[in-house]
Amino acid sequence: MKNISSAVYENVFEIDMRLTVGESTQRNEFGWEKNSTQKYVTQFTPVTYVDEPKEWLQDSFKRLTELSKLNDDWDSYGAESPNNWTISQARDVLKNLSSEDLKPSSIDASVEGGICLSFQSGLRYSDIECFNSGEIFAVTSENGENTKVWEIMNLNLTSTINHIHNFIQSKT
Amino acid sequence: MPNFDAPPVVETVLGVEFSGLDRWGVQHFGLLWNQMRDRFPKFDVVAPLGSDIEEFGAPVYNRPQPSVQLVTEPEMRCWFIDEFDQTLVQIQKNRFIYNWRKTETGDKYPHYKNSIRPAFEKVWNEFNSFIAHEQLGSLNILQCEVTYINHLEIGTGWESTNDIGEVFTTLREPKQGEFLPLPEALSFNSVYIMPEKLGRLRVSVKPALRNSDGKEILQLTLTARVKATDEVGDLMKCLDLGREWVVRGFADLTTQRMHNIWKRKV
Repeated sequence: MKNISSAVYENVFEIDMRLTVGESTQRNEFGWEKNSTQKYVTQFTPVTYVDEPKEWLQDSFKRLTELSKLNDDWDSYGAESPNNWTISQARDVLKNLSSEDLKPSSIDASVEGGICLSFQSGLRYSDIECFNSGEIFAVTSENGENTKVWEIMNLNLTSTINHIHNFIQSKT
Repeated sequence: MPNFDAPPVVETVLGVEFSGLDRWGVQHFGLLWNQMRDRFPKFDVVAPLGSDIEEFGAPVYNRPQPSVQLVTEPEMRCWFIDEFDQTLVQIQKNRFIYNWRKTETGDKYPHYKNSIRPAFEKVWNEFNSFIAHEQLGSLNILQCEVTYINHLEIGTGWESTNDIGEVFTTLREPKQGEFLPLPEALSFNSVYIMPEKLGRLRVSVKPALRNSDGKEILQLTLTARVKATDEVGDLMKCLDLGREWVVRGFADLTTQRMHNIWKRKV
């Protein structure tokens, strides 16, 4: 015979905990995005609300739109094109970068399937790479050495951006 | 009714909130989709909407409390999308919503009376037939909702917040020489009660970037929610009233100068 707590637990189909830290999104088991403004409204046309639209952010969105039109094998070496999920993730990262006014030096498709937002200042390099698999990784390195790589989870996007900002702006 | 040849509307939403479908289950999303799949071949599952019923009376302040909700079946909203990503039917246990959106710059707004309203009515009737056929209970309509989403693109009638008084009739910048500089950004909300408390018109203006092309816009959203009551009549009349408030509200809130840009008909 089951005790009450296990019986209740087995009947719980979902525990809805909307994370409110940061603004990145995460898919739950049914596929919808948690903590995405877009998905909790009736609106179908996607927009990104910004308090202070910055010119570089608009250009970055346009660049993402261009990259979203790539086909598979865009590099003629079999690279996957960035999928819609990755484009959406990259947009979220850009919006967070905008809050810090941290402009990427370049935005490119990744040969590993995804979008790479890179930052360069002198010998210091950093990037945030959103992969088609849903993973997001950050890298920092100096003159090609002391490379550090870590995965960005929902809760550490803001701190990662702060870290990259400080890293890129600090003197070599 | 105000009428425009080139309105800035990019999306219209006609929705119904109801109760009574206690027997609705996950399987019914699939069964219903199967009936509509020829016109809506794409499917998505998104987060469910909360109730948006307009309440009147003394405001009650409930201190927000952290909570964890345990449910015994999936709360979900399903999207049935047409092949051109232009029309969408959203279904959840207590909601039915029909969206039309502009997908290409050249798409003309198809207009409510001759296109959007009959298209809504068709799928709504289909939904009702499905409910009856599956014996899921009787729908108790609580409220209808009409939303028009407008994109006021930068460069079309406005260049900066300096021009905002030239766009909206309800806003005015302080005169030159007064203390404040121009606002870097601007957003506002306003709410209007319909006579006899039949519902409300909610207006919001927010700066945004359109995802499809990165264009800077002011998103002007007008949502009319009308209680389904005997005074209003059937659902379609309820939607017509909501739409009238949205269109007349839009015309009142925006200036003649912008109306000229949007080619208002005399």
